[in-house]
Amino acid sequence: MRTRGHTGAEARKHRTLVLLALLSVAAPAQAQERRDEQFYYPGSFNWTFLRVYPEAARLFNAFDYGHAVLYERLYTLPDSARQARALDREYQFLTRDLLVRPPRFAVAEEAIEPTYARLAWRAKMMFDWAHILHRQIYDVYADERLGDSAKIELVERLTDYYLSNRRLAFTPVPKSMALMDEQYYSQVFRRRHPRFNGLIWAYHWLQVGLYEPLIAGRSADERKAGVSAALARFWDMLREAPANMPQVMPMTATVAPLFTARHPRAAAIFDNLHMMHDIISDILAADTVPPARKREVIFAALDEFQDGTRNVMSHEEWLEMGHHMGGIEAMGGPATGLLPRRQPAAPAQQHRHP
Amino acid sequence: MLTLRRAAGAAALAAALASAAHAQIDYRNLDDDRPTRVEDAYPVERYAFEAIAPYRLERERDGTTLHAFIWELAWGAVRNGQLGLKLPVAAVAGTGATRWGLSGARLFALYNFNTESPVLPALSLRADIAMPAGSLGGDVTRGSLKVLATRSFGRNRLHLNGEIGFGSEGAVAAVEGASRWWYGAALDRTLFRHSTLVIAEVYAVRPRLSEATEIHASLGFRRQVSPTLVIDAGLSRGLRRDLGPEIEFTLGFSHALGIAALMPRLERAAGGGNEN
Repeated sequence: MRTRGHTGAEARKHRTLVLLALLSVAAPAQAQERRDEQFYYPGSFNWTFLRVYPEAARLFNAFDYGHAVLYERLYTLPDSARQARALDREYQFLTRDLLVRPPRFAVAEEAIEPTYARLAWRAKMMFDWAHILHRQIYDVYADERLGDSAKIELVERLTDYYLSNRRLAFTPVPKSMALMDEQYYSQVFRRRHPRFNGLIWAYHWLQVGLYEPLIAGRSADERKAGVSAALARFWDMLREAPANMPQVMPMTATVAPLFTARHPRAAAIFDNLHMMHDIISDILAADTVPPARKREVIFAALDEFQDGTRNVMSHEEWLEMGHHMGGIEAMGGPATGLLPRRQPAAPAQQHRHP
Repeated sequence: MLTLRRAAGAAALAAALASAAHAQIDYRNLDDDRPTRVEDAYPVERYAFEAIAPYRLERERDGTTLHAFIWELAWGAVRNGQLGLKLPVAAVAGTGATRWGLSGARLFALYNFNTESPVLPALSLRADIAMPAGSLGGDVTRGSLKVLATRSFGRNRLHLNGEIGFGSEGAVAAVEGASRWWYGAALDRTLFRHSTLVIAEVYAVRPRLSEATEIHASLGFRRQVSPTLVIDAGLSRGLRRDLGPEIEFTLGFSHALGIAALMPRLERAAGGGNEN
């Protein structure tokens, strides 16, 4: 190697520069939002659902893209006409391409919604944390090595672990529907973008509905057939959208009563998660929430959904809520007792993603 | 002198050993040297362990060939922070016999101050200590302090790293010896449908005060091959005449895993009804 003379002064200069950089960034950085990522609960059951039911597990990867791109477009395109065109393109991309050929592994949502993630990192992390619980419960129920009582106990342990992360956990107590439907920003998104909203509700129907055939099936074959039938029902919802889509938010207690009876805490967490999904869509879409206040309003709603002491329903009210909202048919129909119908047809014309 | 075939066989063995572990999807977790020297500003998740088994082949301009297996374990010991250990094993093949040996040991800690905000990039600080251990580990203990920044632009991210070394001059480790200083930038792009990250970087490094500044450029990728395994590969080259490696190739495998016994003790919270 070529050598040069001793340059202690140069080294001191670099050292000073790095130390100055440290001092200049450390203080303001400490005042910012923390990343707060936490590892999932370990165990050999993890990733079983992807291995045994890849056609369902991969769909959820596409769902993650759908949620992420929705928030990014709603926040970055406040103009309603541009917003509508962008969401229409994304809807076509999702239903004709990404859902038909979903990614093998989870979508890095941060890459799809970078602006939204910078606005409301805590909200993104709370959704991620609940989605991990969703995924791990599928893994437990897909693991044929586990007996029924072991599955129940393991899901409760996973729920304990989820709740132990108090910074990111939704309360396991059902929150009032008024928080979603009776605020000054409520229902803007579903009125402005009914088809995309129906797609999100179809996602949520499948996300909770899939637990039912996994619990109700008396054998591995029955469980597989039940999952296939539920998937087929999901694809049926996308035909002639939004006519076949859920007309109201699917409630876990209504769509997944077996799951709710076994795991009421997880069921309430998922209802709170899905309500919060809709609330953030409304906040981002609503002109009544100015851009400079969206983060503050989102965070206030997050605080509310982590508080299990106010604006809550009793267990009985919660179980009855689905009936008052129009029943199972308004929520997309039952997830069990279905006959396998058809798999998604290959799209006649692939939509090129922008 | 080691042959490339033997080296490839050893890399495959490293991969086989690593794949016994469990992990999480982390192809966007840009670790140092996996495959670029520049890393992102984020630590592993709290409670996670990340085991890395890489192989590196370096051809120097004087004809020397260096083979290195840099075993690494990182642990998300605290929220937003990690501790790590690197144990490089190297072989230096020159005109004479090939020398094998441990190439020092490196302990490091990284702390992330913040995630990206509308104003600031993600910012982290990392401290390393490289100790002389083994026949190729040199004879001095050196430390370093590094500032890291990451900023997203759509599906692209820009990473900036700057590091300053401390400690006396002397023989440093054949691989993973702390430099006097280095700084660099990397740009990556996420191909989300393929769970792949492509990365390009350029950096300047001064290994010792008595040596000239090298400038390197690298290209690489990271790809998720299973829910629990990431593969990465990269090529690098010194851009200044007679300085830096003629060519450098790296291939690695990363796993993240959790250990239930090290998870927090769980308490059962009530729910499913009104807590009032």
